[in-house]
Amino acid sequence: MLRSLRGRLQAWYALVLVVVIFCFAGVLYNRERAASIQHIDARLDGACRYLDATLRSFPPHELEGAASFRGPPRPPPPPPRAILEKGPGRRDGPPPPFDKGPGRREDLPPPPPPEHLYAQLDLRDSPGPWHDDLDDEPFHFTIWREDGSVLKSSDPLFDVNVPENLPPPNGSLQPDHLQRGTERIAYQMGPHRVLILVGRSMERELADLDTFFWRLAGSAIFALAIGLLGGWLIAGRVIRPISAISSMASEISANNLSRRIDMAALDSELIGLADVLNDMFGRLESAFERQRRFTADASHELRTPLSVLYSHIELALARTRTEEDYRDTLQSCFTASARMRGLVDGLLTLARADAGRLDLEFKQLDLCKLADEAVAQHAAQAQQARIHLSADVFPAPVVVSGDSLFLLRVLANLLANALRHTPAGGKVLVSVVSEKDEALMTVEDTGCGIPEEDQPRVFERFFRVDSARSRASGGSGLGLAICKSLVEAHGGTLGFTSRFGEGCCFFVRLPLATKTSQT
Amino acid sequence: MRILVIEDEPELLRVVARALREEGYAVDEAEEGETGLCKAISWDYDAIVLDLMLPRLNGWQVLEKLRRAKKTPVLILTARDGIGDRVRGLDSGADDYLIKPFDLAELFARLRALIRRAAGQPNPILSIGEVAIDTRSRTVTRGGEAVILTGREYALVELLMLHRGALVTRTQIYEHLFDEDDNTLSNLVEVHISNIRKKLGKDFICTRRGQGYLVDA
Repeated sequence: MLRSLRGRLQAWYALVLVVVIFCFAGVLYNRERAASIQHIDARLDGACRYLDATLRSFPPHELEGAASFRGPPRPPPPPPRAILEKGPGRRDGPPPPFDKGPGRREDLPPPPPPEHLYAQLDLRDSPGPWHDDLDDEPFHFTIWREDGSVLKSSDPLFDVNVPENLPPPNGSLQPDHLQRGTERIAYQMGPHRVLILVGRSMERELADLDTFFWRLAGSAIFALAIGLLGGWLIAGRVIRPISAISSMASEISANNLSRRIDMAALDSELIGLADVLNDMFGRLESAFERQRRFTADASHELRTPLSVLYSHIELALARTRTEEDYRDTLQSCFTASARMRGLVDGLLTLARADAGRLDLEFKQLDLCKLADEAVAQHAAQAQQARIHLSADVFPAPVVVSGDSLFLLRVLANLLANALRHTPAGGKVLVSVVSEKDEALMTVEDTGCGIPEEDQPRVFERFFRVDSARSRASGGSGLGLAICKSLVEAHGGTLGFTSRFGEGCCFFVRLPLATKTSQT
Repeated sequence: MRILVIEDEPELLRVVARALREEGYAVDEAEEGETGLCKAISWDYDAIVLDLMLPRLNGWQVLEKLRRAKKTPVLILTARDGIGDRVRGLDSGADDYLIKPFDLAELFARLRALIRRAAGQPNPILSIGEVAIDTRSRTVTRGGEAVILTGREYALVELLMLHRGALVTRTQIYEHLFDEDDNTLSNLVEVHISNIRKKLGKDFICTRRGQGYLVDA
């Protein structure tokens, strides 16, 4: 799945969605919870303060328990930390004896407990800031005196022991809060070091929060599911044009290369892609077309001499012939075969050049010597045609890296063309010069030239300017195409200039050997 | 019968022309389209063998212009074998299409068929009375017995029998029996006619004085 664009899109999107939704839900839940607790704490605080205030009107001796309410202030006994922080809540014995301290007078009996004040220590009916008309959850409270005795407790069944592990009150004006199971507790130090503890069951709130939590989770999951589905569909819609392009492209095969991808329905980002692909199809199409034409032309060209061969032989064998007739027939067959052979050779060379498998043997060679050699080879033919053939070469060697056999073939072909198209009395000149980092070899003639409309096609395979004449003289139309391929295989260029009726100048440019690497 | 061969490959033109002459046809030759068209329009050939890739005027153009003027049967002889080319050739007005390389025997058979068709005599065997000619083997029988005719005599008999019931003028005989390079004297036709009468019977050929000859339907 990770290899698919859609899959990755979906995965990233899902991740983001999950994180966002669950963070959001988490925050929502926690805020709800905090608010709930805060609300209760506020009410507990209110209750604590009320109790605290009420206690302040208590006579001190009530708050101090059996300790005397008269007498000089004595140094306070060490805070009953042991009691606060002791183990299990059950009282394990009678309360420790009171420390009466020095100078205590026991002469006066303690006054009776202020019943009305005790009655005030009630959180049920008295209205106060802790009250909520909609809420009937009772507040429990217990107040312990410093010595551990209970001053008052709202519920006799309520745990009257100081809860275990209760951290000592911090002594500030704000009560401390504690969560014990489902109970929320607020406690603070009251006057005369009494411990006020107010508690409230949070069961319902917790249950509500629980419900809220599950509802939230359910909604989150639902939202996530919808989001993922939507994302999947949207990703699909975005990806669809890409699939459309690839299916359109795959439909374009060798049979219907003229088709193109329809760009009208595409998004702007994909138009670039479709453009490039269409370009490629265009190039493929013309390459296929060239190849198809080449194959058609090649087979056509081969068929003609083959037909000559075949018909000559068929006719010769139809009845008994004279020896002269047979000789004549054999000669015609030979010529036709030679022509086919030339054609096959040329085609093979072109095929190899196309595939880059000419197997050229690169050596350092002097173009001047090559030109001289080619001119010498064609001297007799030129003389016979009464054409003035000469070479004008650079005084110093012009060295290129190349295969001498193939380059000689190129030059010979150009020379043969020049001689063929130049009338008697004309001139053909081969020259070799060195220009900057290039060697320039030209074959110039004063012949009939190439008509302008034919000039772009001169290097085309099987193209002949004057088809009748050159066919008769054995030309197949491949010569220049082969020359071009061979020159280009040497890293050079082949070109020409020509004026119809005035002559031609074919030029070969090759990189000088000093610049190319030796192979 | 006289045939025009338009083919730009000189060796092929030579061998086809020669083969047809050996078969008893009079053959005119053309190496490119313009000359070919010119000749095709000037003379009444019995069939034309036409190559497609010609210099000056290509085969299709020759065919198109020819068809405006003449109904001569045309057989296209070419190396172009694509189905598109064949359809185009036949739809442009050609009557047959033969791909190079070809067998000469097939070329002859197809030409014979074209000539038969054009004359409205689809049967390869033509018979009048007791004379029957088999155009396939180029043999003549009279009353079942083979009769030896020279090439020219046979050509003349075939011509008259293909146009049976119709008058064939001496000019037409010249046109269909001799090619352009033939400088035969005109009275040779009379010699051939009289020789044929000797071999196939006096009544075989009727003479219309001053007009021509015919064989009875």
